[in-house]
Amino acid sequence: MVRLIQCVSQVVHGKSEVIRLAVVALAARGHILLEDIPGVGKTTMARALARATGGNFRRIQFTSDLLPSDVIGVSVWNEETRQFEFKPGPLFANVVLADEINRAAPRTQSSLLEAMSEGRVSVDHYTHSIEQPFLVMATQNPLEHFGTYPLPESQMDRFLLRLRLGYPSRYDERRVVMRGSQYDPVEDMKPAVSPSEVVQLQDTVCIVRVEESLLEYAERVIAETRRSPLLQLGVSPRGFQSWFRAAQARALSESREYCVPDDFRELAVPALAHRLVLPGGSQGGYSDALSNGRAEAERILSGIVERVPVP
Amino acid sequence: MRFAATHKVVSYLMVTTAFVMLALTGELPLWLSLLTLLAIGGSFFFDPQRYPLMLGRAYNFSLYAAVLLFSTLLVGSSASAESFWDGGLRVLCLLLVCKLWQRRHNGDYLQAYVVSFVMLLAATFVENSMVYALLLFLYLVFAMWTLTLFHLRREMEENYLLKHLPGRHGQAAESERVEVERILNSRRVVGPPFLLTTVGAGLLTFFLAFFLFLLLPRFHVSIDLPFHRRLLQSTGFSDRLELGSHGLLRDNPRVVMRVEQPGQPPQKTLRLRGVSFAHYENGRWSQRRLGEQILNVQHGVVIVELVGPEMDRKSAKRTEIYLEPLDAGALFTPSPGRTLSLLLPESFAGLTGSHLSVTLDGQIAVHGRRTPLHYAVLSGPTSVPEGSADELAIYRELSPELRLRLRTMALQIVADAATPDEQAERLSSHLQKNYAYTTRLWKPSGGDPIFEFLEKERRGHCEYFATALALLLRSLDIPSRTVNGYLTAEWNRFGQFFVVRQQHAHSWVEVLLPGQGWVVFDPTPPQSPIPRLPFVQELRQLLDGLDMGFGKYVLEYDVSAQQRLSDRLSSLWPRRDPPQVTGSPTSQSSWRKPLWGLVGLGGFGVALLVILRRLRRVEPSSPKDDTEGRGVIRHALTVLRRRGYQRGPGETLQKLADRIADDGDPSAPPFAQLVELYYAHRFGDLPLDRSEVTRLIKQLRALPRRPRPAEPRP
Repeated sequence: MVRLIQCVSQVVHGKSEVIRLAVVALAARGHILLEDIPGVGKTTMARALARATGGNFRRIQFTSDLLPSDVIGVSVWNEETRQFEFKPGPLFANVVLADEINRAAPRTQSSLLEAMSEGRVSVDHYTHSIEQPFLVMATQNPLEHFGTYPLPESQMDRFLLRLRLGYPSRYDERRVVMRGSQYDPVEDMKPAVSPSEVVQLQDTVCIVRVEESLLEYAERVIAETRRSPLLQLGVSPRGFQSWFRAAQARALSESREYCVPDDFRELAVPALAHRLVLPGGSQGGYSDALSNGRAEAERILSGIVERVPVP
Repeated sequence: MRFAATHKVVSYLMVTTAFVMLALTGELPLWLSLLTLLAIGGSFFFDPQRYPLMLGRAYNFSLYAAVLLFSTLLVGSSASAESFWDGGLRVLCLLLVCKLWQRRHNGDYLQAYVVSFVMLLAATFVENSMVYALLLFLYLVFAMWTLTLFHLRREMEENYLLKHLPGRHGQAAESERVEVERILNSRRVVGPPFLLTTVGAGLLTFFLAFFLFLLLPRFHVSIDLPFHRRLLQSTGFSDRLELGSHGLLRDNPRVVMRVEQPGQPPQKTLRLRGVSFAHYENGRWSQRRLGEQILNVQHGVVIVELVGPEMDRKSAKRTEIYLEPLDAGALFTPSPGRTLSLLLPESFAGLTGSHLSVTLDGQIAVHGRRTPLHYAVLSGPTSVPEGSADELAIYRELSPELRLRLRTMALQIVADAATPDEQAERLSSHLQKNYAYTTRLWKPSGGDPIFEFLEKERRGHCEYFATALALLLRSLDIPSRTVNGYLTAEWNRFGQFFVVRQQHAHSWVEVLLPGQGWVVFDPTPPQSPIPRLPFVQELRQLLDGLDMGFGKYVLEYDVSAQQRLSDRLSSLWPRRDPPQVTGSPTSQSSWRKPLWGLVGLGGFGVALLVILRRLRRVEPSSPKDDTEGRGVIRHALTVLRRRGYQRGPGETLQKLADRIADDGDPSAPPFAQLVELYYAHRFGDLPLDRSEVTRLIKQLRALPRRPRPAEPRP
């Protein structure tokens, strides 16, 4: 896991924390929602991650006329076998970058749903499973909201982490600029691990030890979000589960076999903030004034985390 | 119970207890006590929150103005200190009732508590019976409950009214309301465990205080107040006595005094003489004062010598008398018998002249006393007084008209009896047989009431009988005097003492017989005792006995009592070595007592600590016992606090370590390692490397203290 992180960091400069969280999401069998302005390296990171795991990478550019079949694939009539044959869509990959996911119609968005949570796709009475490891990295632009479809709540809940890349530091930005656009470092990357190793890693996550008091702490934070008068909806059991799994994965990313309070503390905002629903219907992750609602939810959540005493 | 309801109930318990304490002192008139109690009870079911008018400022202001005006009228118009005291008590009741009818928020409760505390203080000034002590204990427990709940409520309503959220990006901090209502109505906040624990804590405090009390006795500190407690009304113990003017005492069961005669077999009845009268004129008895008496102070006791030092005091009988405050100043002495000396508390050393008076026949009166009094009387056998014929003449004194009329009557009754004691006996039994006892007073129609009693009415109370006998004897030239005092047959077997109540007031005659001295004759016919249920009688005796014990062992506990107690305790200890061998026995015993005290105190403290630790250990804190690791971290955090690093409530140790590292503080590397070790031990269930931990802690402690302002956390 450490190797994975190092490998990606060679290509994406100065974003070690985000990279680590992305790897954590991968290890926890989760998916990532990247929310940022264009041109900060979202695609590069996704590609690098795919490369590092030795898996294949697909990118789907979401537009308003994108159909579900464009994402998951179609069954076509094979003259020779006289049967319908399933042609897998771009979703069938180890790492899928769903770019500008909020531009697609809700119908297309929800087609991702089953794939994301179950790792399977059902088309025409057949269920096709997707090869593991499977990671969806969706991006959305928080500033543009004309002609976009807000992600439904259920969809938001399926992302393990919501991350933000942010601008690189002056030094890192200069390095990227000087490198020029001709040369693509991702192409030169060697896989750090094999896909089977990633699957093994994912299995290991489940056995990371979580002490009783940590669980109590997490329960208290969750209970606080449900009780807070500032929030319409707190964190769902699925959200709790995701947070728990992510914390376990983070412990592993630091080569520990046990969780510490910091694992929960650090992941609280990325793992929980986008699941909160503010009063007035605006989601923690998405609203008319998108960034506003998001900042508000994050602030409420960090307020709660500040207050609940850590063990 | 809901939190708000619990708080209300315990508040009322506390306030009502304080009021009952005040009411039981008898300082408040009965109607006021009942009215206030009713008002307190009524306010319990009244909720001012429902009436918006009562919450308004105008209502509040006018109410306060009215109370203030009323209080000024009540207190300001009082001329003397006494009426000021009464007025003040009334204002207290008014304030309490006003506050209870206006419970809007915790502030009103607080004010009610303050009023109740002032009531408690007022009651403390005037009362010190055992019932008071019990109520005080109740008050302490209730106050503990109430104040704890009150502070919780205040925290909720005021301090935690707003949940604080940190400001972001330089914005001001934002706040939000906490749902106070929801918490106030929660049933989970307080429960029986809380109440029981508090009672336990109260008991513990009480016993600790008791222990301290045993160790540190009082040194006769008393507060002399400008007002006084309501004295027991008595009649017949002043300087003069008017026949027929006296009120009904026969049904009044108030205890006047309790009498102990240690080392003597209990008698059936006890006679206590209070005042004797020498001069009779027209239905009126009066005393003659002898003058001032020299007081002799020895070993904290004031000794009033009534008889010269040549009298043998070793064989004297000692009588301990615990006298309640009485409006008359007479001090009572057992009768028959000759009072040799009186032992009064040291506080009497300053009293002379107008305060202490001694009558011709050895009666002592203390004037202006307002507190209960414990004194001892040494009395010897009756003896013939050495007084000259002139001094004794006043006991034969009778106006010529009286002498003329009574002498014929007396001679008829005594008939052939020759000696004075036979004559006295005949007269006495004649009165007992032929006259009736009644407490129904008839109105004297002018003239000397004694003739109306003897010739017309032929019934009356003890004063008539006593007067009649004394005057009849005087008409025969036998010296006699009437005595007012108490005659009791009420023996308290629980406390081994005689109880004297108002209803025991009595009047009899003392006759000076040649060769015998003053002899008691009681011409009053025996009365049947007032029937009472045996159970009530027993209960009353028990309570009385307890009250006596309280007065004896608690109120009067002083240095000498402590000495006695420690003597008794040390006698329980077997003495190993004879004092002669060790040399100086006095020095040994002088250091021995405080040593035992210290050892006892130390043992008690250790036991307390052990119990507390046990309690703490039992308390379920976490499923995993991790005191060691936590102790290490707590220690490290203390060290860091000295360097100016304070951990925030939601801050993890790792974060703290990062923060310190960001500052470049030299404590960062050892602390980070320590945190790592602690985490591995606590959450990873790995064994703690003690030597490493000790090394790191040492490293941390070696760093100099560097006070710096705590940085605002990001």
